[in-house]
Amino acid sequence: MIQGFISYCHDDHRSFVKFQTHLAGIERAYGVKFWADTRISAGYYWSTEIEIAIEAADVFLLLLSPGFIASDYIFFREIPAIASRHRTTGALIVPVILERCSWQFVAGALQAVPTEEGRLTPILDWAPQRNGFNRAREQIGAAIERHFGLERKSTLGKATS
Amino acid sequence: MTANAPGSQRQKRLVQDLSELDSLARDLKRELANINDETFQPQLAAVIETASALSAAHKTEPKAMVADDLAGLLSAVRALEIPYQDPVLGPTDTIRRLRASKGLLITNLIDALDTASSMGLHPRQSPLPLEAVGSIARAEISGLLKALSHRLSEVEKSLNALDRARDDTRPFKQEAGLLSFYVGSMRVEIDLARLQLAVGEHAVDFSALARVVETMGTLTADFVATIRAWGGKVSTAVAGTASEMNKRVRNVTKGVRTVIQWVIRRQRDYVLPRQIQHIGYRLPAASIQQLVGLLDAISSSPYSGRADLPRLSQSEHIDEDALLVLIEALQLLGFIRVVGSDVTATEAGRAFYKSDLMQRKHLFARHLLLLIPLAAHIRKVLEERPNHVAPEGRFLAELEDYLDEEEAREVLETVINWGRYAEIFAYDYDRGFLSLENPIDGV
Repeated sequence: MIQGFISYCHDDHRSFVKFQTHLAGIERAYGVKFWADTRISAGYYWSTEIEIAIEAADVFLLLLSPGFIASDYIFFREIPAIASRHRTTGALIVPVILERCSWQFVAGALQAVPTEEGRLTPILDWAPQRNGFNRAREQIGAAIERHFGLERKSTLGKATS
Repeated sequence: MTANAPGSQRQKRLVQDLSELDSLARDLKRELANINDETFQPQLAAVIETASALSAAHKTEPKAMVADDLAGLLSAVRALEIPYQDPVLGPTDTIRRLRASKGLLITNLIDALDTASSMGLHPRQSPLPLEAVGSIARAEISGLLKALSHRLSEVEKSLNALDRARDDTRPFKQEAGLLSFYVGSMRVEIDLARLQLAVGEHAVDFSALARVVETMGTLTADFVATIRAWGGKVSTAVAGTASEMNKRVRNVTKGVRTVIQWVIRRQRDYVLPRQIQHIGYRLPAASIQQLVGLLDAISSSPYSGRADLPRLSQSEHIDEDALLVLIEALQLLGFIRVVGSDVTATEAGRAFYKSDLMQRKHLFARHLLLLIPLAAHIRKVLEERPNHVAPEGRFLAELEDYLDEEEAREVLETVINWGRYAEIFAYDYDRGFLSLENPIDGV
């Protein structure tokens, strides 16, 4: 089972919930279990639970927005921990652009999604938005396939590696 | 679970390629003092400066636009024409070394692009059909090139102001970090744009220039969106300068897009203006006064319905890019046609010139409703509503399916300006409502 971690800003909680629904298909198809901090209350703090989840993860999805970059908790805690995990284990990081922002500032030279005809369009700018979520899901799935050398699970069989 | 070839290894290779690029730039810099060719020397200096800046911006940690930057530099290096001999000393060792260095530079850039590509980073695909544009003779767009150079300097002034504003951002560390990232990235793009303007003795690789300008546009739109969303967290100086920066970058992108559209239209040898297919077409921001003035100028003496674009630009004292905006609008409205650099008034254009004010409004209204889908759409919505009134926000929301927020507002302002002149609908500036109050009947 591949462990995944979703990093998102709690201001984007509603979009995160929709995103989670779309990710269910990936969890089923590739045997990935995504973990996210689902506490809605403000007052972020670095918890052991989050630290353990990052240390266990092979895939990171960053749900990027202006609020994501502005969050001290994400900027000074989660991102450094994720970058460290990426450097030491080669874990996959996929920036998912939720809302237009300077995502390059935090995500560097990573391939972001969702794109269409080679052009990146934030999910909230797609009309209808579900097309943006769908496209992001497809491209995250493709990135996982490439990175782990997996094939999509058929309804009858298991993923092969 | 172990991953396949970690991306971090490819990133290390890219960092190596970028370090080599820096080293090649330093080698070339040593040769600069031995070059006496006054045309070539500044071009080479621009290549060196840009290569160093690009390497510095990406070699610690490559950024997402690294592939765009590398492709832009590669195009400029390819266009760099190394003279066969020095004008003072004849064939020299310096010239021979420069020829070899150009080859090494090209190889290095291709390698770096391949590595970036293996990381999934490819040069962006522009929404504009850039392949069809290619190079444009300098003589054809000399005025525009000067204007672009001036606009880039304006962008640079705003960048300097942002750099200074960094001192006010201490309490919010992300703001300071974002400013460093944005200013640093934009300086590389400005260097690349200037390089494209400098190299190529007779022609400018306009496709490459347009790609650089598109990157500037995206970086700025992302930056401004972030700053705006951060609201009160951001220092006033930064917020104000970001807004000014946005306008200045848009001036650069507009100039480039106008030329591209003009070139493409010229290549297609239009007899009739292209039919706009949807409401989200980026209408050229031309005011009625300008459109009517230009159509009158084309139709009257000395042109009498047929004019040459460069001459028209001179006689009407309009910058080339501003002229192209008006030309596109008149073409879309069916009042002129353009073949090469010749502009000819259509039958409708000639009729417009000869008409009185009310006849002009009727003719303009007919063309507007027939040829501009957005105008027809607004009119239809207003006709269908029982009170014949609709808020502008309704149309802005529709336009934002095709355009960004500012473009959508600009397009709506343009069509309102045209529609009010034609009296196909009215607009209440105070309330932001469109209506059928006092429209012309029977158009």
